[in-house]
Amino acid sequence: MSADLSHTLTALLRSPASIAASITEGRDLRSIARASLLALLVGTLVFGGVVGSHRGSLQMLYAALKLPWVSMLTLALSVPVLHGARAAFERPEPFAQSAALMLAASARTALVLLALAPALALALQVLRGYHAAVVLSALSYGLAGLAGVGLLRRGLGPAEGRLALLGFVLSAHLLTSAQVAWGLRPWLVRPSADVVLVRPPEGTFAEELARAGFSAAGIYDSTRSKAREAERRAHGEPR
Amino acid sequence: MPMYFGVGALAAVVLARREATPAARATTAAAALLAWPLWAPIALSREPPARGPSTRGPEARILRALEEALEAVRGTPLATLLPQRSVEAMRASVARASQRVGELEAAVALPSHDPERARRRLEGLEAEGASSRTLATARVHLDNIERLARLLSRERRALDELADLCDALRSQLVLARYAGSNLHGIGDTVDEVAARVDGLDGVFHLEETEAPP
Repeated sequence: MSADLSHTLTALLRSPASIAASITEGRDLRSIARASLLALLVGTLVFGGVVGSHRGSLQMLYAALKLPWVSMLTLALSVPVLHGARAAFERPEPFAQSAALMLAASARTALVLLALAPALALALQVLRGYHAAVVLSALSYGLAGLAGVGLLRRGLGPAEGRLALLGFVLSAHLLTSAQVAWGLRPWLVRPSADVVLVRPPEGTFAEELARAGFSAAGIYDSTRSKAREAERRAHGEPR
Repeated sequence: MPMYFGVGALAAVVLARREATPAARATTAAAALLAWPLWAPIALSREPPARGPSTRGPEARILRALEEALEAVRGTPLATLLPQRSVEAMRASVARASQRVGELEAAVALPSHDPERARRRLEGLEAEGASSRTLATARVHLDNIERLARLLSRERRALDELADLCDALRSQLVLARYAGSNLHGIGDTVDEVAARVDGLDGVFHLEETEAPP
């Protein structure tokens, strides 16, 4: 590993302010982007593998291969959002700086995911339940995301109006990320379901969120329940 | 997916050709192929001109003098007076100080940091009978600008004085090598250079602890 790469990776974790300052000044964008891409790929690949380890076998490989793509595709969609939002909030910056900032923030998240991966792997082995695995994985992702938000906030310029801009960009990023991850399911895989690379398209994340909300309130979608029942029967699965 | 990688392959070819070394070409090609929506704008952006080591000014004089002094004592008993490791540490301190001077020069050169402008603004506000709060803000701004200018002047002076001292050290060492000289005197000069170099890092702190005039 070159000294430059190692230095940038260390700075991503330990000195987010210096990374944000470099990006704001347009300095070292390539070395930051190079280190960020590497961190993003490695961090999400390992974390994906750990998430897939809940089910084991081929799902580890599938989840490890898919999670970097969730990050990449989300970034490809949310960088233009950040760029446009900055212009709308009257603090325009070159597109390259918006790309580098989002990339660096995501890389910091990925590095924290990498750090959390061993603990999550252990927890998944100890707590075998599907729902516990979902909650733990989501919590880990949320915790790592906070590290990325810190860098993003620092890179958004003067304090006045920064919170609103951050809220807007984060909302867009979270929605995009959730939809992309939803499109590339399954991740943990229920014990009753088959291991596949990607499930056929089925609604959107927002629809699923609404459905889950109704289910939690005791209101069930009978059409969907019947379709699932038919699917289970076709696979010969117990109810 | 094929379209994504198709565009990525095109970006990889175009962007890799812009790189100078095979390693950089390989890295750029891989990054562009996998993440062209993110990498391409960054690779196509222009970096601001890097501030390389200057070849003029006190920093260059100091570095040159240290290099020549090192050369003069190499392979002689005088080498113990000026170890390579000490010279490396001095170079690093001088580079830091020089960078600070560059940053301060850039800050002082900003139109918003023009002391004349800030003074005129303060006088204008006083003439208008502005509120005490507005006047206090303008005074703080002017005071900050003047402190920045003083700091820059102090850093420049420290580097100039160090450059003179390094020149003296070099000539002393060259003389000692060929004509013999008082080692004690040379040791004192080396100590003085080391102390001045250490002092470079303390210039900011000195400014911070000083009471305002």
